[in-house]
Amino acid sequence: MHQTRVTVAEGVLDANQTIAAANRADFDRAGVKVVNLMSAPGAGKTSLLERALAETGEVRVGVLEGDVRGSLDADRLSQLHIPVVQINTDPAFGGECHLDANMVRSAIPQIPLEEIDLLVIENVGNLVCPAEFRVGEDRRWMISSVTEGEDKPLKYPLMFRSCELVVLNKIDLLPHTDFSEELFLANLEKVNPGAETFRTSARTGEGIDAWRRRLLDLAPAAGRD
Amino acid sequence: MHELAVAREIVGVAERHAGGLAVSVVRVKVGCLRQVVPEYLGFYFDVCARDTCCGGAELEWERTPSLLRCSACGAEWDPAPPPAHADHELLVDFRCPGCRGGNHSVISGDELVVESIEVEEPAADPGRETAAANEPGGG
Repeated sequence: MHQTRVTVAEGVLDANQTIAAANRADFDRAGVKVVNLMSAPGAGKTSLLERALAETGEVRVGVLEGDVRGSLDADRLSQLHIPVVQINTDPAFGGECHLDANMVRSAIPQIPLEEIDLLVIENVGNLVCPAEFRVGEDRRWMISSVTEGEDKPLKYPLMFRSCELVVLNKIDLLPHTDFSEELFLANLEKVNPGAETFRTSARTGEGIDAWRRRLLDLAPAAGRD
Repeated sequence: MHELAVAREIVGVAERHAGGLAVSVVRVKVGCLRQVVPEYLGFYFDVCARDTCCGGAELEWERTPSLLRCSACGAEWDPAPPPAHADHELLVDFRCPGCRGGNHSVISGDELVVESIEVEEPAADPGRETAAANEPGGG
């Protein structure tokens, strides 16, 4: 027996990237724009989507719902009578904490790509792992909520840096907390200078229209003919 | 938790390059911007490597420093300097310290790479290194 060094020089996430690119190609072929929506658990991803997708005009939107277990969120969104496909990460390794490209790949056959213009992938609630794993999306957006505190961009810079748009949700709670919106935005600017921001309350509906417009504008123009 | 997912990918990369041989060492480079704690990575690697050709292998890691270059003025800086006090993680700043510009390129720090592995071969074969290195791209 003797030891031999084998040069590898391969990115740890290259395999995931390759599958993500294949997903992206499938989405592109079908003319579907894809948003990977991420946040901590309980930031309001589903509530925000319920509000925003209740009124999508000519744009046909579908949702790919990622959860460790169960279909609670998918059931809620199904009330909107839009295509919703559930991925549970539980069967894989006792509950994966994020979606990866392969999980999304395995769900693609169930998504009616020909019938939608825009696909929102609601990732598993987590501010760490989803930042690393591309799934074939066009856009990476995230939601941060007032109750999480204004320091989160500094504590999870990888996530906040990996997204081009950040929604500050639960602004209806601002009067009841010590949350400083100014400090939050300053912290965000430190880790992701120039990031686009929206402020919403999924509860009262404040700010939803503007965010919905931004979301629906991603869809190819053909979808609105 | 994050390190678990990354560790599993590392084992996968090593397996693909090991050519069915037992792996004794896996060397990775982890950039300071990756939010990966190498110490935890080692723990999870041991778990993920079980029952694979990497079982019992040692994970050697090298940390690469974070360094950015401003696209506007060319200044170079470390956005996350080494811990100075308990709140060190709150010191991050990705804006240029010179011109406050927001656009930059990453010179170093976002690496997450398997550099090399050591495999155990039954007999000496000097051609192995070259052959193995060419495997992934070949064919």
